[in-house]
Amino acid sequence: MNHLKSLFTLAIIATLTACSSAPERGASGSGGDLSDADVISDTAPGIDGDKMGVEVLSANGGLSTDGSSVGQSLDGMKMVDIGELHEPIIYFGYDQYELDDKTTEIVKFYAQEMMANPSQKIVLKGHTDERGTPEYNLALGEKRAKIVAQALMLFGVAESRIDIVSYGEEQPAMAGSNENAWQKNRRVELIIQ
Amino acid sequence: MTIVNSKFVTFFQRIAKIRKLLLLSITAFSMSLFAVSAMAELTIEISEGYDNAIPIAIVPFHYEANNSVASTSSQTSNSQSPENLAYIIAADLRRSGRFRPLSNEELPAQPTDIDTINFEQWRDLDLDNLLMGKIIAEGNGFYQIEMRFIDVLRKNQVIGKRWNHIPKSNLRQIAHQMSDLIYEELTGVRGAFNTQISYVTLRKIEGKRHYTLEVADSDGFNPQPILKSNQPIMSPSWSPDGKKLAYVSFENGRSQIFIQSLDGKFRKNIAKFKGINGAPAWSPDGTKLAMTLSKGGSADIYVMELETGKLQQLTRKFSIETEAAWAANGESLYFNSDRRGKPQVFQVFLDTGEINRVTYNGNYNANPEISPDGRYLSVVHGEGGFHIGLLDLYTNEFRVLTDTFLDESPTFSPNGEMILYAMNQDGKGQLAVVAIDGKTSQTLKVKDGEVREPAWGPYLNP
Amino acid sequence: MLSFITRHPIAVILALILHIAIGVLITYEWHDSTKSIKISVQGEADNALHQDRQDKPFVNIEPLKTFAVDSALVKQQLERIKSVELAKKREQEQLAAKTDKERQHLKELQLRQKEEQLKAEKAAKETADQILKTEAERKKTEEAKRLASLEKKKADNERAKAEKAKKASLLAEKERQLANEKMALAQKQRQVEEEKKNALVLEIERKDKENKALALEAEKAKATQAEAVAAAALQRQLDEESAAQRAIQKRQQLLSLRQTYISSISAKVKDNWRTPARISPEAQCDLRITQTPAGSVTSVRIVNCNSYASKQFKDAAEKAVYRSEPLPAPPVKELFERVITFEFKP
Repeated sequence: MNHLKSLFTLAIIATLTACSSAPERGASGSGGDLSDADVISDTAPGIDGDKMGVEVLSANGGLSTDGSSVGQSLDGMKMVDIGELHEPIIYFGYDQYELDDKTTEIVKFYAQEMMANPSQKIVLKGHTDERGTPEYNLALGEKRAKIVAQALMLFGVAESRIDIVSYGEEQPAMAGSNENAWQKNRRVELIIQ
Repeated sequence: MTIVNSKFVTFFQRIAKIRKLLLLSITAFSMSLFAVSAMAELTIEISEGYDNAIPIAIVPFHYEANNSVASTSSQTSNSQSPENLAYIIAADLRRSGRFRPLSNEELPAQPTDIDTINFEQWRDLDLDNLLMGKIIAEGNGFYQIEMRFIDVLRKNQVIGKRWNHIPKSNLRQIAHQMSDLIYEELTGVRGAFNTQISYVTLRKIEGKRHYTLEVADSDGFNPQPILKSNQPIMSPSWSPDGKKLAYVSFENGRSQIFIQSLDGKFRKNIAKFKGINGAPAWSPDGTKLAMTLSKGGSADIYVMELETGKLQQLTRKFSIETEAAWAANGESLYFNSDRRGKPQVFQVFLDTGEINRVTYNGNYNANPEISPDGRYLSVVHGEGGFHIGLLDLYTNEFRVLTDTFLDESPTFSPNGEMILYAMNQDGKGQLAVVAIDGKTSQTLKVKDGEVREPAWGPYLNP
Repeated sequence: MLSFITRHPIAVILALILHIAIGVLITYEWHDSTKSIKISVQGEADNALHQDRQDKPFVNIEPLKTFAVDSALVKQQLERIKSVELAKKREQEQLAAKTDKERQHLKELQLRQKEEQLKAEKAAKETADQILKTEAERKKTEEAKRLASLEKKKADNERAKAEKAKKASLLAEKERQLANEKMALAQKQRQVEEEKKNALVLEIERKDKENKALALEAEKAKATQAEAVAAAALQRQLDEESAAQRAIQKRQQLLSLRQTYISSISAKVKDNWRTPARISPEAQCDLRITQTPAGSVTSVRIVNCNSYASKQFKDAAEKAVYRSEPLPAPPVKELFERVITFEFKP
């Protein structure tokens, strides 16, 4: 049983890694490794990548990151639960920046993947809902990304492999001024590269 | 307290050299990002006015073509006034909420000289004052403007003024200056019509976000984009001389602070530290910039000396410290901190580092702004929604001024009479203005997008 | 060979041991080197655990196991960090709350001080104003006295006139009674002559009207006549009554009438007060208005203002006066004053 589960998770990691890293490598593959430059070139496509978890349905298709998550759920209908559990997005309560058991599990999952693939780096993008002031939310988004980074590090991921960006309330995943949208917007996106 | 950016000074020396390059890159940048330059003007709706708005007559300005030109041509161009000054002034005064300009149909006459005024005629309309004037074409696109502000009751001229050699492009500005003069004469408070505002517009075109940092006249006219990006732009702050803006741009993938001159000739990324770089606020003397940096681990307030790039850290807390606003005397900063769990406004003194809590009304007070005279503190007050609150620092009296939705980013007019702020209406970010006595309000809308992050600029001619 | 062995048993044993030792050493080293090759092949991923490597082809399983073990620990650690942070935060908060309270207290004290200072200033201002006011009032009463003495003579005349008016009104009353009687008579006539034609009724009504008109005229005539009579009567009365008493009565009457007159003007000005400016509720000035008998304003002077009165306040007060044209007429013509001064506070 345990073996089977491990095998399955491994399979998911394998597909995720293959799909998520392939286009990113292409974009920033050059050896310069100036982290700023990387971020610049990554963000533009990365925004669409961000939508992987939330706006998959309305996404304009093209990117393979979207394809992977869709393909995955089609592969094993029974495994949808696990797929959802491991969606690379961590949601938070209003004005909160703490991890609960469930979100810690998600972080653990990605920490494992990071440990398994030492060449991978991860970008944590912190977001908030539209309530509260923009600059406060910029700081709050960072707090959220940082608590995720802290957890990743406790699970063994080196600090040097983690990059943190806060967008505050500037890039909502879902438009609208209602609790449903707000809930979707209070998040940290985990983007493995 | 560390020295940053040793290149800062050299940059200044090399500006001249780099200027052309910068300009080129900026234009290239904007051109590549925007195929369509949508630049809709802000439209203003007055939602509420004072109960006792005073009627006032703004007579259409008499237009005269160049004296040297033959009379025939003057007749033909008579109807072609280059700008409807009376209309601009009337709109200004109406927007203040304190005046009710008569419509053209209500005017019994359109005098141009004090001798031709039939005072009784105007008195019967329950009027106190009348503005009349002339636009005289000097030729080559220049104009002479004359205004006469008449006291109908005392039958005398209160203000008489003439502007010579004004290019057509500056006529609106002259109109705002006239509004300022009238406003000051009648209310005793300097008018703030001849000022500018800046704000960020957001348009979604084919699913892509387009951010534009714009500068416009206080009445929303004449909008000029000064930065376009497909990444967020936030928190513009005016330099006290009104010539530069500091703002936050995500163009490098994260929040960084830039300073840019309005003419676009100067632009510099002045804060790109690890973590967030946000909430720039120019000191009253223009030599320093307060900002929020999280390079030390969490968001804290810093002050950067612009000449040297030297940083002074003013708060050291695990909690969030941000949104610094300078006290009018430049000796302390007000800022937002959630060290008590929820945002409240605190004050830190630059010399001693002493920190005091300032707001105690309710459990959410964020984004402090100080009125130009230092008396009022406006905040985003969270209690059953987010509204603009005003704390009188002299009396400690607190009032909630607005009742719109998701109000934020308050900014005082330079005369302290009005607060411009961002709110949400019909699911869209829009701007609104409220008087500090809460008695008049208006909304500024942009047709094809959202408007956010307003900042009211200083007086243009101090 | 055997003899060699028996001859040198110790040497042979030693040699044997040596050989065995060499053999063991060689085999050991050989085994060891193969193992190290294995490590260099597999150990890239993780060097934490080596034991199960040969059995399991998947490199990544070990870390999973490790994490399964660690996760509880990590959670614990997270919790501990959180709790330490919380404790720290709480401590900070308590400290801060304390200082906050003290600051708040201090602030309140400061505020109170400020308030008291303000109050004191206000009180000082008020007493100053009061002094000014009493000064003004003293001047006013002096003026009033002077006026009164001046008006004594005038008052006599006016009293006479007023009494004339009184008599006139009495006469008018009589006239009205007469007219009423006449009307009653006419009605009786009408009752008697009711059977007669309507034309006649109309005629009577016309006559009645004429009579009324006549009566009015008569009234007027009698009024003027009455004035003369009253004047005569007054003259007589003057001799009869105490002059001083009358003077006092008259003056009081006049003063109150004058007060009503001035209030009516100030009320109208107040009615016409408006300004777009923010005006202090404490602002106050005296308005000195010069007017024509018809009530049009010839000049307005704003004087004796207190410190709260701004330029806009003064302007607005002046405009309010002009807006009040024509100013109310006095209840008695004789009370008209060309220059009116009153205290103005909107």
